[in-house]
Amino acid sequence: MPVSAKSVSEYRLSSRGRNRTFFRHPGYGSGVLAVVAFAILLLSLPACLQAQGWWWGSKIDSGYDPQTVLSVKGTVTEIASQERSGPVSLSLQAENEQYTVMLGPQWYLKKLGFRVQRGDGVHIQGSRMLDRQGKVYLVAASISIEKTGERIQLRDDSGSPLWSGKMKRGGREGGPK
Amino acid sequence: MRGRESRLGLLGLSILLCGLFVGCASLINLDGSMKAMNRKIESLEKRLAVMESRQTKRGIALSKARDAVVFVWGAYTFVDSGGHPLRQVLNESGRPIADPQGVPLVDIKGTGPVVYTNYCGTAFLAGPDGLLLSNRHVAQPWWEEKKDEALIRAGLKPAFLILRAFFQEKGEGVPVEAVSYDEKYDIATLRTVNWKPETRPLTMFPESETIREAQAILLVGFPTGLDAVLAKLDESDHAQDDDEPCSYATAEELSTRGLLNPTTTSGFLWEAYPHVLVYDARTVGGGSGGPLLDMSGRVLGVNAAYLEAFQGGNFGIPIAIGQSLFEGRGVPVIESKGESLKLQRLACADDRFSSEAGGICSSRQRERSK
Repeated sequence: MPVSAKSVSEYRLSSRGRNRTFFRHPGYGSGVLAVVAFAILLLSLPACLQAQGWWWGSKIDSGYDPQTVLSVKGTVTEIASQERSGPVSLSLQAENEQYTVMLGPQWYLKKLGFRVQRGDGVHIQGSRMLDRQGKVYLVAASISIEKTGERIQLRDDSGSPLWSGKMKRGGREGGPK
Repeated sequence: MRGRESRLGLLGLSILLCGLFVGCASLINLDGSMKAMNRKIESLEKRLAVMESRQTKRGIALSKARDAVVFVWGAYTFVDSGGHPLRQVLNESGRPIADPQGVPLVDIKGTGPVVYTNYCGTAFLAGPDGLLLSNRHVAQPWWEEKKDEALIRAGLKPAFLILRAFFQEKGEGVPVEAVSYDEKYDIATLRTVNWKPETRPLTMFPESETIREAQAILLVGFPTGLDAVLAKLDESDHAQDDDEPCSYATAEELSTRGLLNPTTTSGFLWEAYPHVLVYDARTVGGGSGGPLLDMSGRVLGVNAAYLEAFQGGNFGIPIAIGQSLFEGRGVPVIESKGESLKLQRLACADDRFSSEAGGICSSRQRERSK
């Protein structure tokens, strides 16, 4: 149920009235703070949504946030590539976390002669991102395969994909009907 | 002595007569067997001829069907009441914001390139002057499409950037437009724009006849889109520039080289209801809108849906529902035509849109070796 501006302000007024007990009871106080913060968040949500728009359209290159770049070592547990032109992804079991690693389009990896198998130990540098369902992804900038020592560069320092020319930025095809 | 001789003579005569009788009887019987055998051979020959003729007819029917089946390629976006299309939202570095799977963040106020959804499907010539039959979800891809619901709820309107059909008789894609659709069932008609094919339309199954269950059927279309087409090609037929193999440019190149051929699967029609046909001929996404044919090449229905986890029962819309569209009983598409014209103008007016849209414009710029 959406929280209206009126109901939030009413809640703030009533919490002010309980000033003293508010600080004497830490549990209650933190709860109120949390509710107020949540209410403010809810209030600002429609505005955010309006500013952000929608997640929609034929897929383009994966997003990449240079602020969240990290290095992860782990074992490949699965390799998936659904379409000829779609991205190749890996399931990576790292020490503490399971990642879905987005590499790059199949044709590009083929061009580079890239080969990885289930069970291979790999070292990946990439941007840690969450999708809208909260699933953890690692958008790879480079990948090194332990057993061969091979290292493949997929993105530059800013995260721009090395397979993408200027004209190809518009996107790729979506699913057949 | 004489009496003994005459008895022996009589015995001999009797044996001779018996022999003659048995011989004649055998001959008569043999003649009968021969005649019966000849009749059987004749009957077998006739049946073989019928089978051979059916085989030939099936081959001809299949060849005709292939000629009349078209690959449909479309890209659509959403526009606001002022005709402004959705654009990518860019970050501070001017790069489009996308989620880890590559789904872009879009908005009418976005400052990036126009955003669209590409899709492909199948249709077939079903009437004169380029009249095509397909699914409604091919003619209007936003129909019952979950990912489009939020945009429609927000008051945006869908609009085609490009909707083209690739015919066997013509290299480049032909512009098509939706004409009408059935309000309840997943079936629609389209028509070619400014061009009329010479290929004869497929024959519809007569309304006077009843569609029989357990009959053999053929399904023609483009399941998987271009993937199945590319998989059939010799390595040397693949485009040299093999990046983005499933793009509009690839479809156009394959069509120009006469390599954009539909896939045929066969099976049996197991259930026939007035509203749906159930069959086991294999299909998958991209095969939507393909004709379901009997062995004489007559259209029984339009391929519409499949269950992902079970390939044993796929679903089609009976052709009788399609015929009702030909008789003008469908809902006419008025809005879409206007929108597509508006978008055509937009495409020409907005250079950024033209160069980034990835559909016709960029593919024209990226000519490939033939």
